[in-house]
Amino acid sequence: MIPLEWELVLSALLFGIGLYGVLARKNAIMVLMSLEIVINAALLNFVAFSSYSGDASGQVFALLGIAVAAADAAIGLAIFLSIYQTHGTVDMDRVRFLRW
Amino acid sequence: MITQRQAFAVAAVAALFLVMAVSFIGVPWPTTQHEIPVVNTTAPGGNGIANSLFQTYAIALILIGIILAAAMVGGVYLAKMEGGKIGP
Repeated sequence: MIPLEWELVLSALLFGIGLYGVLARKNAIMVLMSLEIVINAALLNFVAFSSYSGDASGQVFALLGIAVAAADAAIGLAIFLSIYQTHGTVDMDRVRFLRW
Repeated sequence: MITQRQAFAVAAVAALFLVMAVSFIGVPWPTTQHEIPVVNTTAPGGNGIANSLFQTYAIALILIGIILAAAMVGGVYLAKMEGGKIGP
């Protein structure tokens, strides 16, 4: 049986890896994948606390969260596909029209 | 080749991870693990995942379905957009 601290530290490590990807990567697809890692870190916390408290609500929220993660991955990929068709790149340093 | 941005990101993420990991250790978390069944058909208000999903959170499930349908329509619209230019 894994203690709850280990799962929390693993979740924090996953969150850190995802946050590094969001901050340091330039390719938009890599940023999207790192965002998925961040979401999965949060869902791991949901499942861990649900399993240790004996309440099924956390695992239900994890299921709903997986569905939301799938939806935003689809929307993000469609947006980046459209940006690539019009601008010819998905480099986050060169796609600057959302910054002021 | 480590750029300046990667160095700053590693420093920030390492500091955040250290703060989180230190704050997790030493807290009296619950130690007993409970097994949660997938579905509990014996009791009407059972403690299974499916019982909770289809009874307590039925509205949330319907809303997630609407979100998925809207995301599918929006994704197809954005991906199949012709002639339109995104952004200036």
